[in-house]
Amino acid sequence: MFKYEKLLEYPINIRKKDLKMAKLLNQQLGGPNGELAASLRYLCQRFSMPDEKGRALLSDIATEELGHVEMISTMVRQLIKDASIEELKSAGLDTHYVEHKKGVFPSDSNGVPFTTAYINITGNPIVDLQEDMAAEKKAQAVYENLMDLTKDQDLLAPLSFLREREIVHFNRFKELHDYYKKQGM
Amino acid sequence: MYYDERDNKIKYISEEKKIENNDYDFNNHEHNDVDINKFNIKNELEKNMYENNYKSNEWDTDVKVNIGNINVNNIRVKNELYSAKEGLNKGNMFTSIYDPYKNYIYKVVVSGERDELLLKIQELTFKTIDLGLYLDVNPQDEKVYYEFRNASKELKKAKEIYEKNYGPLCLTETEYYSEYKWNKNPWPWMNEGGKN
Repeated sequence: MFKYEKLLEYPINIRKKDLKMAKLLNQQLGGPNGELAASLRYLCQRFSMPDEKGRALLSDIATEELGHVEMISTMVRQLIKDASIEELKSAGLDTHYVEHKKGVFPSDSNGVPFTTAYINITGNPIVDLQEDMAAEKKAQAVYENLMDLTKDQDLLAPLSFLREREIVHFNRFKELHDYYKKQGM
Repeated sequence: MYYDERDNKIKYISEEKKIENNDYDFNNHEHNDVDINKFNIKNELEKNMYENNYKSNEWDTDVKVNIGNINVNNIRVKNELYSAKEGLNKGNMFTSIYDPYKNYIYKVVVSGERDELLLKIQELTFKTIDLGLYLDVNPQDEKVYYEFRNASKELKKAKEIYEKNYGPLCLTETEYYSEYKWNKNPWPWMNEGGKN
């Protein structure tokens, strides 16, 4: 089961409203390489991991990714909360407002709702881990693109943190993958 | 809130140099892809002595050992873990796999007793998360487990102080309160003192 702790993994305090970035950041909330997809992917894959190492690693990374969902949602909410209707319109977020007002909704930056078609669970630990490694690399690339698109330090700091976590996760998945390969899987 | 280390170029460059030259990658030493010359180990015998010394290390849990200063064959091995504070800033506890983008390095700076204590909790939580992931795959690493265990103990103490003074971080924390306080303090996404 899960227990909630009333703190973010990394502190976030965005002082400048930036609706363009709110729209773009949504990519990492409900996009194909976003945090929600990552979390669900590992939460489901862990059931078919063959040993304690796999079950532990997938559970723990999935849990951390839930914390990242919370971080991205926090960033989107803080960027959007003080916006006027006119500002929403000029940032292209009127299409978000019509359905969700200033709520946080897991869609990609174009408003396409999240779908589990973004993730795969094959039940084969090697194949699943290879998907996970690719997913972490893709998420890392998206974070780099997001960092190219802003100069606000309040955004860059948590984005660089989240990007670095993708690197760590990639390395852990690779270690486990190589270990399974050595075992002859 | 964030301090960009790139503002201070000299500091940043010297820090990068350290990462380049002084780190010994414990994780990979079994796979022989470590540059032994870095540590002036000249032959196979010395290399084996080095590895045996590292492997036979036993950790006394009552004594705090500075693992950065273990002296083997007169070689100073730099600690391969960052401090909890530096780890949170970088998003990575392990010097060997740290890889920044375009030199973006930030330091989290907070003010006020409450935020400082919360930051301390975040740093220690981060340390336990990151070392935990490593230990999931490498449970035999006593050195990292020792660090993990100390961080968990320190985290427990920090949480106690925070919860005593500022309210619960977990729903079931009730020891310090005579009334229900879970819904009293601000949620993590609320900035500027709870203004949403």
